[in-house]
Amino acid sequence: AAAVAVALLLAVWSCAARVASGLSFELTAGKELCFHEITHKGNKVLAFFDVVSWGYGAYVYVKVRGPGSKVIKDFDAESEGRVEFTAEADGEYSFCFSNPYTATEVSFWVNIENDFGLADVIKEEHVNDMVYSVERLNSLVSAAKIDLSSFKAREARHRKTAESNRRRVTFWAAIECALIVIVAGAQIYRIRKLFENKRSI
Amino acid sequence: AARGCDEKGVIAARGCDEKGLNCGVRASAYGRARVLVRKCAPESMKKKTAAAAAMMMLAAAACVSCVAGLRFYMHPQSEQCFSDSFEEGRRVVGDVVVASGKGVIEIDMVIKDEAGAVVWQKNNVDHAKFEFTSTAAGRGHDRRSRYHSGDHDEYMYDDDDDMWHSPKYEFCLSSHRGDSNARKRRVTLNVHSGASARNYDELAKEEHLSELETTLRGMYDELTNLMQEVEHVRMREDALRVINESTNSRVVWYSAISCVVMLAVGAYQIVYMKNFFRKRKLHVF
Repeated sequence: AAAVAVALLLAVWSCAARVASGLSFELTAGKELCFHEITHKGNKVLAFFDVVSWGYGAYVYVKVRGPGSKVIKDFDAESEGRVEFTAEADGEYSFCFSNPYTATEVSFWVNIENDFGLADVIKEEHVNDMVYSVERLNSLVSAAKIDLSSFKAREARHRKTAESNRRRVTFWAAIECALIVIVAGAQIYRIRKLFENKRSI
Repeated sequence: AARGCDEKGVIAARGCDEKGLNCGVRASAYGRARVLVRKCAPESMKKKTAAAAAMMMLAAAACVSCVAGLRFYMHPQSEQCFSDSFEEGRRVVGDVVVASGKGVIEIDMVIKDEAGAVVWQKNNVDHAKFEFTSTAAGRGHDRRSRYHSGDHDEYMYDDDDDMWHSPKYEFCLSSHRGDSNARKRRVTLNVHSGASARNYDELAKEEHLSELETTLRGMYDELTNLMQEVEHVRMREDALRVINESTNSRVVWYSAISCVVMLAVGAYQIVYMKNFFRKRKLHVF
């Protein structure tokens, strides 16, 4: 029984902790790209996406669909999003990305909890509490990795915004000062001209 | 019948045929599964053979959803690229699986680094594994040190990647060869790096670790990586704070300067025009 428990733990860890990093892909304008996952009822699905490109037009439309094309969540022109749900039925779940106007680079990450009927086995076998705790630790580590990845992506985007902000402030302040001086000069010049060839009023 | 079982008492694992064999997802050395068949035990039997059931479930479970990756469809005559950044020096492993389908279609995969050099390539991929170590493609100087030393040129932070650079790799799949009646194919791409990429089987043998110890060692590595990344993100956020505070003070200064300039110029205008009229002996005032 101990061997079973340990082997079970091992299997769970090797899967739960094996989390791929978020890959980014280039989404061409007008084309839709879908990712599919097949899972069983009761599994927890966690996905997040973040638009890597920055600027005007840096958003995507995302549709999360369940089996039978039932829409689970819909994102309209969002630059980041997170969806977490428990699969209600066995089948294929799809995440579709599109942007009708601009090409964008999006980074996407999905994690599906594994379905071993673990809870049943544990209850029946009266497995050691430690095994169960370590299994839960695994899920927490995976969840932490997910959240950290999403945080990194957001931070990168916010820093781009802050840098752009600073550049804009500097640039437009300089333009403003220059404009004031130019307009003042132009005013004086114009008024002088007004009086140049005229006789005194 | 127990959950998910059919009348014969057999579950087909994902991608498997009717006999429960030849499953689409195969085992890799970085997962632990070897057996891909999952058998159901009807309710009555479960209590008697709980141990047996658990063993079998283990064996199967270790595989089915093990490799967390992206699954998508490749259409004929198309290209799809994915990219990711990996910290320098980290080992990157992964695999790509192309499911079978109608018609003949050849899917090629190529991995390129930032300079465009090919790191790995395979034509007509069916199921292939790849592995490489992330190396910086000869970048001149390390800009990160410029930030820390404090002598940074404030206008140089154009690109996020410049300051916090991790080598970026591109995984490209293309399907330009094949016949006309080929339909789309399902492709699964998995990429792991860092702790996920270590081969724990070998480690267990080398150091004679028990299974529990191996598991815990793996978890330890994962958490160590996680903590490193947290530290990295914390530094980046510090840079964000610096930028924001600098913008905040700049807004105040530039607005003040702007107002002063406007007042000065206005005063100068009035003085100038006064003198002008005086010279012309136009006593408008």
